[in-house]
Amino acid sequence: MKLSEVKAGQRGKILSVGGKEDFQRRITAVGIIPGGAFEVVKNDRKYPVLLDVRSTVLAVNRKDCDAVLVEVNHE
Amino acid sequence: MSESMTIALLGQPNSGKSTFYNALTGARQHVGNWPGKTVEQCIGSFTANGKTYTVVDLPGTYSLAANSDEEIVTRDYIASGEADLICLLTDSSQLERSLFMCADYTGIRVPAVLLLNMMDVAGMQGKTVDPAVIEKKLGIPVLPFVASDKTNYSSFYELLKNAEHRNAVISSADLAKRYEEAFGETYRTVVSLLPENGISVYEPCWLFAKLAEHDPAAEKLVEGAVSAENFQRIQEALRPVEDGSSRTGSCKFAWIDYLLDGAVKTVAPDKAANTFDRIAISKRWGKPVAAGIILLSLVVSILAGYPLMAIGSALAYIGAPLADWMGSLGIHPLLISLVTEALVTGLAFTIMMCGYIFGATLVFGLIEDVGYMARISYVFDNTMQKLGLHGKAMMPFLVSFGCNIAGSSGSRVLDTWGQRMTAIAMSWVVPCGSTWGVVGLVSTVFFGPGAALVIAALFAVSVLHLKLTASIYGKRLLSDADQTGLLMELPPYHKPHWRALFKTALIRMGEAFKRAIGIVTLIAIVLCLLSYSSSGNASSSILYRFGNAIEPVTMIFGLRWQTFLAWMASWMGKEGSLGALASVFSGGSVMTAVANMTIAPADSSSVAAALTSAITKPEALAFIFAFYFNMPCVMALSSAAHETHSLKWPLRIALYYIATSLILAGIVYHLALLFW
Repeated sequence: MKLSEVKAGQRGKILSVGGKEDFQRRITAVGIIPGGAFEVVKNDRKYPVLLDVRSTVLAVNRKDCDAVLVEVNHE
Repeated sequence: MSESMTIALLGQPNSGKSTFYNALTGARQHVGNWPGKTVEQCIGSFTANGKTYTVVDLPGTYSLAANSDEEIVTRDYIASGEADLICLLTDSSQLERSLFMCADYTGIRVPAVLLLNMMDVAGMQGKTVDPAVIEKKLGIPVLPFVASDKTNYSSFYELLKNAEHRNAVISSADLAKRYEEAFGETYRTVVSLLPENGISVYEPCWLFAKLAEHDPAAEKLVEGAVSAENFQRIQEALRPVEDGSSRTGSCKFAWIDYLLDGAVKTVAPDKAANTFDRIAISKRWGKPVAAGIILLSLVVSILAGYPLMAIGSALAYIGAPLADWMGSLGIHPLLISLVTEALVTGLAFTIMMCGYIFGATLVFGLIEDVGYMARISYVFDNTMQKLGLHGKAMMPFLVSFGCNIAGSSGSRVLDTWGQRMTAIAMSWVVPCGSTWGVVGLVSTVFFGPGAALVIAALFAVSVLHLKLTASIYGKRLLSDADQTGLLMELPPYHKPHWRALFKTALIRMGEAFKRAIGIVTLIAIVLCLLSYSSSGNASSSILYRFGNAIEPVTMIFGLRWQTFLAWMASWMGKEGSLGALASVFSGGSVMTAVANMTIAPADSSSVAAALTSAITKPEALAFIFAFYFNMPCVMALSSAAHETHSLKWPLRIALYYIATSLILAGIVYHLALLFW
């Protein structure tokens, strides 16, 4: 599923990062890479998605989050 | 061994780099700009181990990709070989993430050391780090460190001695192996086509990673260093590579995991959510809380700048005695008015403006420093998107409420030139502190309590104006590459670094002062000459005759020649309008009044009386709109040109503001005529 669809509090693993090369470079540098674990901290409609990756809280544009495919853990 | 040595500090934002730089160099610092870029260049020095070290504080960036000016500056500097040693800083409380810079640096043959900064914060999270494990794998000295604690600097000086001795570069073998595993034949082909020893300070594995990431600067470098045939073969080999950046990124993070394996122990899981932060980013309360804090900050920023504004005001009082004294020496009256009116007024305006800049930079710098600005950017991201920008553009907008010049420098937080120029263009509609002063006075004089309605109308029209500006300039200034969405860290809140904040505010103020003083004085001289009359009667001055001649035209916009002149006078400084009004309605010299008005607002009652008897309400409303939507003062214009390295765009946008302000005034005037 898309990162933008993950609900707050859910954890999971990043499967792939698509989008433009420039976006990929920027998002890789802050630690969002395939295989990485994440937790969505907050995901309000019309707001950027807040996620916790490698103990850093990041705000990522919603549309950009469509290009990040993830798998959510089912606990 | 040389007697002096140059160290460059390299690290991600929020890695404590500035704290370290400031503590290391103290007062021995110099701030400039990197050649051709609006990126601040900080160079300082310190003495230890019996020698002098020069310290270059490189801009804080997340990686060494050539995405922004900051990153290009950083890379070019490292490649230049000017630094003898690179000091990598990481935030130990977020070690994995912040070691990415180290991974991106690996493969560059410039000796380095690694400081595991903020060990105290990591300790509070229950983390312990064994530097020896990392040191062994990296091959360079590694030191656990707390930059905010001066007592452990001796260990850093020891490290320097040790580093000089070893002159070690990061061992890249393991990372290179990971690239090879991930990219297979592509990696081997490309590396075999590159010069065996790499290019300048870059090893083949580093070049490979950057080529796979489609880094334009690296492609250019390689193109210049290998034969055309080999370059073509390299490009062919890389063509099938997709998502290169995220694949090299995976290698880099896997390498970081390998570095930290056996080196980091975590006892307790971290963090309880902070109550304030929950409110600060909440959907319902985030915006109102931010608005409240912003309003409070504006008030505080004016208070902080007040001492300087008072000095500027006080300057005016030397005008009259100076004129008397010069008169007693038999100096020509024109020269006297040039000195006492133009020069003194120019200086007074500039100093007062400095007060606004100082206050706004300090207070909003504080909000940024403690970590709250990122929350403001988050909650207002969707608002800024409507203007084609993203949340980080809140900074220049907010600072502009204090001063549009500070707004220009505030635009540096944005990533690209297009975003910066757009943000500056739009932030001009934000009324600065002085604009408020004049609007408040004139609208109260004419409309009493109705002034609140006038201000509400101004705000409503501002929103439309912003949308118009966005639709006219957004497409032209924002290319595809500028359409980047928000990607920002929400750092944990922390205590402010007062010294650094004050220093930045003083530096910004100094820059603005140097740029403004000349241009303000020049305009003051021109105005002074135009309004000079040998008889001492304003009606014989060039300005008066010119004004009368153009009134038929200016009345289309609802502006009498006097209010039109006042509108023009605000180009010099927004308070200039009040002076011009006072003068033209009282028959004195324009410049004397411009000077007196800035300076002694106590006189405003006389302006009030003169205004209400001479101007009708629709005309007053026209003036308020023309004034409010006018271009910012020339000082702000010149600072925008400086920030963007472009004169063409700021000038075009200034003309647009001038035109729209007159048109809006005209519309408002003719509408108002229907009622009064």
